[in-house]
Amino acid sequence: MDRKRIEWLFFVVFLLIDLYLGIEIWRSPINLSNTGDAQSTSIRSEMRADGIDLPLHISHKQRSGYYLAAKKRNYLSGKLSSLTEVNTHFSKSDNILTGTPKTQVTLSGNHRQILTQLNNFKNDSENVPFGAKFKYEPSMSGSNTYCYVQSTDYGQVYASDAQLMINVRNNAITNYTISYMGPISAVREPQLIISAWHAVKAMYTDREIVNNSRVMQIKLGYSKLTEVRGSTILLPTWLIWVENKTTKNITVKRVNAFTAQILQSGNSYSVQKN
Amino acid sequence: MKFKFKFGDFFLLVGTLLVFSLSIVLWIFIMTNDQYFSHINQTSSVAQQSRNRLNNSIYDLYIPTCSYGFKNGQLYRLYDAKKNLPLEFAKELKGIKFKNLNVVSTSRSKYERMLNAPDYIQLTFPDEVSIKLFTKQNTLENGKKFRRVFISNSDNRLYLGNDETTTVYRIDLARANFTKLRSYASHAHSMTPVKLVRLKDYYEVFYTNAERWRVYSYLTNNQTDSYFVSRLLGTTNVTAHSSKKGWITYSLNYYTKLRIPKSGTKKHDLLYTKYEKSKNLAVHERLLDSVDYVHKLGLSEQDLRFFDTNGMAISYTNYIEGLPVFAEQHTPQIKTSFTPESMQVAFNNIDLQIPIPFDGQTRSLPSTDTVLQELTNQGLKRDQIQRIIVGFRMVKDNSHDHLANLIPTYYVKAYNRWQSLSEWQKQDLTALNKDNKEGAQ
Repeated sequence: MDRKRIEWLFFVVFLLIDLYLGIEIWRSPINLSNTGDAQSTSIRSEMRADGIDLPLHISHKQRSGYYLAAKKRNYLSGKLSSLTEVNTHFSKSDNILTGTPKTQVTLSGNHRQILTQLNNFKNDSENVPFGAKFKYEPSMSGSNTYCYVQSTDYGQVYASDAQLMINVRNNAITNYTISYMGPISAVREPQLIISAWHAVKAMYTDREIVNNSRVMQIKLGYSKLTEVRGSTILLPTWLIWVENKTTKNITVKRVNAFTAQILQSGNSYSVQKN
Repeated sequence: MKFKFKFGDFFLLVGTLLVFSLSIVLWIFIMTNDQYFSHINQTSSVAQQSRNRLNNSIYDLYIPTCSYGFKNGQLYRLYDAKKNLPLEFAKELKGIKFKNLNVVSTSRSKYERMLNAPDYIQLTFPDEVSIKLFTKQNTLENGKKFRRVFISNSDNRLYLGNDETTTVYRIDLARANFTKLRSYASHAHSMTPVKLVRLKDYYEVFYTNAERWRVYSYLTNNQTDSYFVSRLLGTTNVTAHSSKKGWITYSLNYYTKLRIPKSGTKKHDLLYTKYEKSKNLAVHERLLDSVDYVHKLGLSEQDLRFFDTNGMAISYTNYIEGLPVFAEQHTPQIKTSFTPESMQVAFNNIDLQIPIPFDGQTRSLPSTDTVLQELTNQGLKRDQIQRIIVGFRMVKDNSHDHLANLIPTYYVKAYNRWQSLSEWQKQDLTALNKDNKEGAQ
């Protein structure tokens, strides 16, 4: 080999090495400055590299949230006698009431009209106890199941103990199940909570968002933390809906909005797709 | 011999040298950048990650803790369970642009007129903070300090008050909107009548009537010794030395130590010491420097606020419903002390974790005038009393392992030390006055 060939060989090899190193630096989360914006951009690009899609706008604004409490009581059993339009079954152990309409309740029209009819049904205290305190949650509803969550002055509660599910088949309400936490009040004055973006970032750094997935929605709601002295304690959480791009499964995960810790065990669940 | 210069060969040589040098530069860049490797190595504990992830702002610790307003000519301490007024103010501050700073007055009579002017909502910090820390702007910095914020009916300016020097500053503002805050203040859920009385250093809030104060309860959490050792000293080259006095001292080297009470001693006070020559720092720099150490501890910072300073020592403690919490009789949660040779962080490892709903338990406390009278009758000189406040004493609830009750108690600062009222009542004041007199001479 002559000198010129060796030079060409060196040139090509080192050019390829440069390209590789350049791509590595571009893809890696290296921050050249310590500013929040730079960190945010870096994590965004890192997530993009991992195939994670984010909504166009995620708020960076800090809000305030409360520790809430609800007295643990059997609120539903006392309402059974007033439910004259439905046949009821109350499970004391689970504190869940199942109601089946005595006469067929048919639903017609488009999705919006159906929702109005369902609202009228649930708001009638002869059909559903405390129904007016529940709000429709589209992201947790399916094609035949309409999910409502308990609404309070402080925000919505996302817990199996505070949920109304109305089941529909052949354009008629087949039955519903309801659990109700009771009146909810603040335990202490409000405190500063993390932003929605901070919650997504915390989930990503905790490897709770798998590669090749899509963050569909981020909402602030209250989740159950613990039970103490006969009360259920709730805390503000960021609920993050994540869709696996391959399997199309959607899971809802929760981030403690005070501490940015991921809430584990039984606090994430799958969602039926519409 | 004939010399042939070929441009192609020359550029090939230059190009090869360039790509070769570039690859070395890129390689060095990657190898020397910590963040690249910290991305790869994520083996630290979940708790530690969460602490780091929380990344609280330095300024979250330095926010006002109490708010006051007038109604029918009477000054009230404002409290609303649904609206945390000082927090609302701190949130509003984030979008504000501070402009000019001017001294409005320095006379005591004018300052007292301002304190009693019903047009203002007042927010107070527990102790003086620097104006620079408040505005985060260099242009307004002159080492000036203040403790009180006066919110007028105008959104174009704020007044800051320094109790000690009775100086009122005016700061011109842009993009401020305190409408929401004013509305919250006028509709505050609870109003306790108070008056402002001049003590040694500050105008103190005096509760004019005997009041019933709520007893709050919390589920507590305390981290393991290894948690603090790994956060403060690291995980390698740490040696432990056990003393007969009930302490274990962990040392990273000769210069960095952590003293932890032995398990079973029922003590929760830890002491971190780092021997290093003190830096000559401005007031706000000292405050910010101490916050770095506070973050490093990894304690819960949700209710943690700046509490007290004497310039070289800065304390932080939890504030529950506007009142400070004292652990172990009279100590704040964290105290950072800077001396010429070392810096120390004394802290209590009990975190207030989950608040428990109020169960109706209250504690009655006399008016502040009564307390002051009691103390002076007992021999505590009035000119030595620096502060009188209502705070919470953290007391373990015997019904549950991790349950603590917060008992409302008067706390008094005199002779530069905080003690509860009952502790002052047991104190040999004659000896203390004598020591103080000798010290002054």
